[in-house]
Amino acid sequence: MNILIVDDHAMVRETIISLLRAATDWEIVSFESGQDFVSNWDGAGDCVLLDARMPIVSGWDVLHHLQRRDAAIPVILMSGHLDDVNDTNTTYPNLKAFLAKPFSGKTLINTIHEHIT
Amino acid sequence: MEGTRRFTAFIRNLTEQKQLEARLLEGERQFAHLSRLRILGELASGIAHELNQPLNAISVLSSLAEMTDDPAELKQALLKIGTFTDRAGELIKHFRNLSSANEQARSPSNINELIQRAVQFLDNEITHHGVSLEFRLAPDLPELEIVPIEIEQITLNLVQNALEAMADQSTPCICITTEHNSENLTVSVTNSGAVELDDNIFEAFKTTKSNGLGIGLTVCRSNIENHGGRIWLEPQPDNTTFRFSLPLSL
Repeated sequence: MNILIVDDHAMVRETIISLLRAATDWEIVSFESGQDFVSNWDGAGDCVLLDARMPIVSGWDVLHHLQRRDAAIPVILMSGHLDDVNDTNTTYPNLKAFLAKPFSGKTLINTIHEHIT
Repeated sequence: MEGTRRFTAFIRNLTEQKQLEARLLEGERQFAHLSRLRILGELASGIAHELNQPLNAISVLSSLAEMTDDPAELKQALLKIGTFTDRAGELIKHFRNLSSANEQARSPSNINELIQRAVQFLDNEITHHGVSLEFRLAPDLPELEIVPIEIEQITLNLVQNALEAMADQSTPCICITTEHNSENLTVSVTNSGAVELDDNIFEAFKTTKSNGLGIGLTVCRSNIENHGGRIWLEPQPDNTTFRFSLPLSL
């Protein structure tokens, strides 16, 4: 399985990469911002772990971008803001789950298993 | 009388005057504290966001530490947990200092570092409102003997005001500049909002906000003047700049 991580906080991005590489045999590709993802994603992958709040191009903007591209890739949205859970400002059909930060590594892996594999 | 020296002495009781001065000083300190608490209340969501990042990293790393059989990987995870715990601790310590009601001491400080540390608390607001933030910080600023949290409070106030002034703009931007000459160090906060303002805005209880108390800029001016500096407004047709300068020899 190929997992994409989009988060502007390096410490979050790198710790998720370390965890998934240690605990699974999944391929991991990371993007350091929403802009980086929108500009450089080649359309491949099985799941996007997407931070909701990023500068310039937010997670919500990325969801709009995916919808405009008619992408079908499943997305798990990550955020520390409870308001984001109830944000209905997206109609992207493949938004599978919301992970409230801080979450544990086990919760992350279980969520991916539950919704993607 | 011959051979006798006479002296006239005037004794004035200053107790009341000293007590009044002390009360005024205490009132000013409480005013500044109230203003800081108000800003911190508005920043609560940003502070939670900043704390969430190291907490999330710690939580994920502890899962990794639990799962791994590799001693090197375990050690690495524990080291990182220590680093991120320190980072979270620093944030809390900094927040505690900002909210403290105690009188703060002057210490040699780099204004660029204080500005960047203060703006960190507004990162979330800046991101959420799609604001483009630019720093033009002079690399060779001399250290000044100042009260660090007062300068941070001024920065927070000016940037927070700038964010509110640009609420309706489609491409809002803020530029923070530091520079110095042989006598003064100057900090400018420019935003792309053009609001009708004049120097009265520094008077207490003057505000353009519907929910504002009008004390933020008054405290800014008081803090700057306590450092021997001055603060002023430079409105332009398409932007607004608040500038303050501090003497290099305080």
